[in-house]
Amino acid sequence: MLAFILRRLLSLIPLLLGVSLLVSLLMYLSPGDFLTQARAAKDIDPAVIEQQERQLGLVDEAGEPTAWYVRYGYWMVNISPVKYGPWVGEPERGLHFGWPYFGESWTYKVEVLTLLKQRVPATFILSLTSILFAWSIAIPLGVLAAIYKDSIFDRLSALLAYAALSIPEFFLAILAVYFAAVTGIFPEGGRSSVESEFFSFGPRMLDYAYHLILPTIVLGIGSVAGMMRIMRANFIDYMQAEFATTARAKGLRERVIMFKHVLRNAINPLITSFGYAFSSLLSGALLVENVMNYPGLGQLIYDALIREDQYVVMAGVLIGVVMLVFGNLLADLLLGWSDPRIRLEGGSRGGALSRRANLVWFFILGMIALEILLEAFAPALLGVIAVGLKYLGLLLVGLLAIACVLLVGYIVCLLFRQLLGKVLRRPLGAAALAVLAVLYCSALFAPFFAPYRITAQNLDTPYHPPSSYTWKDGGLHVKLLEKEAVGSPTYVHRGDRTAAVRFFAKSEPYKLLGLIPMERKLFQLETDDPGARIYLLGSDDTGRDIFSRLLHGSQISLSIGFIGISITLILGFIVGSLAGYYGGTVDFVSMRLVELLMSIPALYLLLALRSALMNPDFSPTQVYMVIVVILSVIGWAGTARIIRGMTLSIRNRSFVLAAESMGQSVPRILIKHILPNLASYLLVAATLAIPGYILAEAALSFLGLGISEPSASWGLMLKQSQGNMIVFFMNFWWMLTPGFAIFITVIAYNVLGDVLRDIVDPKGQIERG
Amino acid sequence: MSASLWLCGCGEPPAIERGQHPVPEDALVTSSEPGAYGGFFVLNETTQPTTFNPQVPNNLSTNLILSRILSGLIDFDPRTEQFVPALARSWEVSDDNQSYTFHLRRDIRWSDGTPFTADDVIFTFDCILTEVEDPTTGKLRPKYPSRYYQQYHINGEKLRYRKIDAHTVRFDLPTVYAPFLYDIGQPILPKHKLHESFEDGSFTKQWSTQTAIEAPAEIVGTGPFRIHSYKPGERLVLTPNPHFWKVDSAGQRLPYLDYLIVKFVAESNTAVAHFATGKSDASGIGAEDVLWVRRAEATYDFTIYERGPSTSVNFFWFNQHRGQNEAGEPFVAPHKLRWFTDKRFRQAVHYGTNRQGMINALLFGKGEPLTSIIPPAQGRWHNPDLPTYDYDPERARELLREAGFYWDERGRLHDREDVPVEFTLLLVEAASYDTIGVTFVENMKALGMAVKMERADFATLLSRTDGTFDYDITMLGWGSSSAAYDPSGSKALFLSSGKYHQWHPEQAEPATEWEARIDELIGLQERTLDMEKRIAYMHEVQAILAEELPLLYGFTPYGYTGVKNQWRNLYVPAAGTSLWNIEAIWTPQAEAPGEGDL
Repeated sequence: MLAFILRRLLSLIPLLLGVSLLVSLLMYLSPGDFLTQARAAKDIDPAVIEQQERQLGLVDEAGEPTAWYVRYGYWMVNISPVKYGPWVGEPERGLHFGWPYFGESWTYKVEVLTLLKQRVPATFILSLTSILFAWSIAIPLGVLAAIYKDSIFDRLSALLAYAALSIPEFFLAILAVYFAAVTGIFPEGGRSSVESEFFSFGPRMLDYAYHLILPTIVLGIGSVAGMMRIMRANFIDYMQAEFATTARAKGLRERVIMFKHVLRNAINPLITSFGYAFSSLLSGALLVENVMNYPGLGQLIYDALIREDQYVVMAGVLIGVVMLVFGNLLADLLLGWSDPRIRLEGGSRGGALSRRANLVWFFILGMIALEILLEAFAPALLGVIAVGLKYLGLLLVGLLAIACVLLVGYIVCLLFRQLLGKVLRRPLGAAALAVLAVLYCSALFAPFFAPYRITAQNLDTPYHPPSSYTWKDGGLHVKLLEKEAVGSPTYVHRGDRTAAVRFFAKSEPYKLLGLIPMERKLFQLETDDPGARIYLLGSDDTGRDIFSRLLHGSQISLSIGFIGISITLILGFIVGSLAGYYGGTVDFVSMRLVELLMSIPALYLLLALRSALMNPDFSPTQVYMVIVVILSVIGWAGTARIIRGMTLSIRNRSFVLAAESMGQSVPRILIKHILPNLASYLLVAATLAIPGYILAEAALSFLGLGISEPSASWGLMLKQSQGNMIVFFMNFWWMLTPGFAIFITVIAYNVLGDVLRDIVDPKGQIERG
Repeated sequence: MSASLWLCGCGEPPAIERGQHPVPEDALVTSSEPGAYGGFFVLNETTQPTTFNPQVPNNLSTNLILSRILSGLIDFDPRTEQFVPALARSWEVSDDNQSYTFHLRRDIRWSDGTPFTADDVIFTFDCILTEVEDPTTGKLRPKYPSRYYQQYHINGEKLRYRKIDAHTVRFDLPTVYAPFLYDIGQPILPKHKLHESFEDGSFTKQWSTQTAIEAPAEIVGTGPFRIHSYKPGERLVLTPNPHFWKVDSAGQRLPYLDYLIVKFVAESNTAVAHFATGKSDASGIGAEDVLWVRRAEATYDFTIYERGPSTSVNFFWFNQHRGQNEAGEPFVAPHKLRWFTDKRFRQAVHYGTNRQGMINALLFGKGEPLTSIIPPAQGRWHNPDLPTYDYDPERARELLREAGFYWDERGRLHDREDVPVEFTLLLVEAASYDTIGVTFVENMKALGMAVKMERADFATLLSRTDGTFDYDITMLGWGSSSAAYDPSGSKALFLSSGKYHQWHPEQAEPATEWEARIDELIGLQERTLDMEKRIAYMHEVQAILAEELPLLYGFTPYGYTGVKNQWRNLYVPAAGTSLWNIEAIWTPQAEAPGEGDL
């Protein structure tokens, strides 16, 4: 037991090294540094900046910018408990022990540890309470749903679960803040009330707890749904297991069987997922903390990333990773406690493996050494290589994306032809398919359906409510509203000014699907007044038509998921199947890489990648591509791991062996024999994972880091509604329709995914990606 | 609220002990109505202080908070728009207008009880102006470089200052310099606390946020408040300075408040929502929010004060830099420079921008287009007789035609050498700029110009507009936190050699005649203390700028401030912070915290 814990803790060291190396490299790659702002402000003397550059170790003695490995080296030396002086801040000579020093926050001029000490407990508590909240709701609900399978309760809880799974977390947080502001029942943010400053210990804790309620619910609700579904499926399985039957035969009461025997077994997967649930909550917390003004780690790291406050980012991400590892460790210990059959020691690893591990380390160290050499002797070359790699990468990804989409599209079509009938026979599946078909059709033909350009403004009609209609002169007419007074946000219908709606009417020329020149749109207003508009879903702050923007925005929001998942699946398949097929070193290297990627809280990785890849002069298309790349890079790791596992079992099947003995090439075996066996899994995994991409794009744009004006995406449109409290307090509800659109899409995908899973894999073993 | 009440009752704030220190004879007696002690004032701030050391580079929030903790020699009274005594009881100007003698208040103390003397004033200026020899270059450089080092160099010459006696200091200027009083309100630092670190080189490390967290008592000042506790990301709690140098006419030492609490909320919208739901006592309110905040006026018993056009200005400008980069390429492509340096082109763009429309849509009509870099909120400095350039696309087309531009059959604008008019608008990454930018792009599209939008974070934007000059047109906003205004404060913008002469900074020689004239006028106004003359010069500067339009002014929103009705002695000035006299503010219903929410 102790040895197990020790081994786990030891395994932290290479992981932390890898993560910190990656993060510091990403931060170095992103343009600018902490002093960029100071340099730009002209009233700061250049001497101040020079002094600071030296203080922060951004330049060396000669005033040349230091390389990233030098900065990383300083950092490593500082955090190492074994120190060698005299060094920076190490007056003592010789080898000695000292406290790890995580550096100083450049922004706050405070030691990083002090900052973290304030923030970590807040986030830790929030993550913990939301897991507990999720468990305490999900487990009973899942059990009840299993016991009363197929009853109304079961159906209802499934519906609620879908709903909870489909609301973007940040959107829920916005709603919660609004709810708090309007009702006054809960504090609308913060961690403690002002008065708590003077409370004694007990009431102060109560005050903290009181402030935790809303964030806990918002953060927890998303995971309730997933856990509940897993719980239900497991419980049903175990209810029919042999031991349950035996117990029944022995005359045990049903209640005892359920709660003593079945529950204990069914809960295992939840416990296993504890670690990852913990880390995913950590990243989810960033958005919730941001909206709800909760002073936690997420907010700190987000700010620090934006301000390039490197030491804070490094330490914060490390803390996140440590929390993840501890979460996993805790999960394993819990599992051992709840299920004595599981032996904690795990498989024993032989000498061969450690040799391989050494090989990997040599390889990594070699790459780093090569990089350092290059940087030391041919720094110009490195810059060229970096820029070249960046653009080459973008180009490759573009091509890869097209290839992936084609390939995946082909597979989907093939599979769907087999499965379509089955899906359509289930009412839920048919409904979900229909919704998705409508959504994708309207995205595809957006210019035709949308009455206006996305940038067409009307400054006289900001926040115009959805139009109302009337039947007149044998045709549909729109009532034309005007403002109550200049500067008033309310609109009234004076007189009976109307304008006729004409279908298939001529308008500005445009190109359908980017190819077919057209002039007619589905509907237009027939009027001479250039200010008269038909607002199906109201207008935004500059009088742009929300309906048109929603349709055009769906092109981005809907396709990002599709392209993203295609790249993810192909990458995951290539890495996973190769790892599973070859095993050995390939397996070891790729799985360590996967673990590394999975251990960094997703949103931080996303932000770091974004700042490393994004350039201000990127065109909207390039921005779009960068976002797709980022999302896929983050997503493929999990898929690869699962595919590896499946390949491992398939490769020992006789048909693979037969193909091998016939001398078929590896790619051929992988594609002809292994892929078809994985295809149905891939399809289900893809369907279940797409919502993740849609939500991630929304979150990214919401943070202001994704799609930007004048383009439109659902996340961006939602951001505009959150940026203004006005939307809530003046009840401009139509500004929230993008949130509703996200909700509908995600729910449709989730339902479809579940239906497909039921068909392909009745035991429900495919987890959400 | 109700729920927090049941938690309450156990957490009465400890009563503030007052009156144990005798009031010095030299204390300033305020003219405002005497009030009663007690009360709990909650403010929201969106940015957090980065330091509590005024000489470390910091942000606006830091300055505001420091002004509660530290005082300067003189203050600005926004009611009379005059400078008034603060730590200095009085001052006089010599006959040649080049020396200022300040007489300090006697017998007043720092918040830790140590007497305040002329040594502290001298020490403060030593911190800014002491020079050391740079070991590598051998040149003199400031020992602790800060932005003030330049400020106290007048025409390149260092300000001289000396102690006359324990309560008198004298400043000698190299020339007559009208804005001197605007510059001298520097927060004074305690020598007894910081001298040691000044000597040993660790001065900039003192009074960091860490100090405020761990040892707030170390940060001593002469301001109305001192730090009680600081929780980054949450709040800063200030309590009265028992040695503050102001008393009311009833002989009570100010401030009245027991606690001044600055809460940090990341979003300005959240801050407004907090105020609108009664959770803070005062808040600035954006023009776009007034409508809905006003609905809660009765419920939460507050008043919204209308302050008229705000001091904030925003403007577009075209890059008119005529220089070349190191590689010998021009900063601005020649055809673009041709457009951008043509007055008619700039005027056409200005006429074609629907600023009133933006105000109507974005601010619900609560704002006005700007006509000058000196906004109307700056009182007499603003020239009221300037051309307004109201939205007039027809006039814009006329001007473009006059300047030789023409439209092709698809409505696209070309110059006389058949180059289509296309340029890029560089913007700060922020939602508020986005809407303005999007509208500008649409407006220009209507004139046949293709404008692309490009975003950059603030620092990158500045490095491009000031360093590499790699941009076509961009936009910035300026806000001023202080009610005191002097045009010399933005001298660097007016002078052709100035760093902030945005459209073509740091020219060796003025590139145009009108820029030369502005340089001359700025010099003239600085060297006379006659207010009427100074104003006349500045009006001429504004008239030239309005005709030549190097800056295309945007609009300024009306300012609003909401304050709860329970607070007395409140005077909301047109410009600057509305809580400039926080020490005199009191409430007749000083109650336990928490109940104030009801």
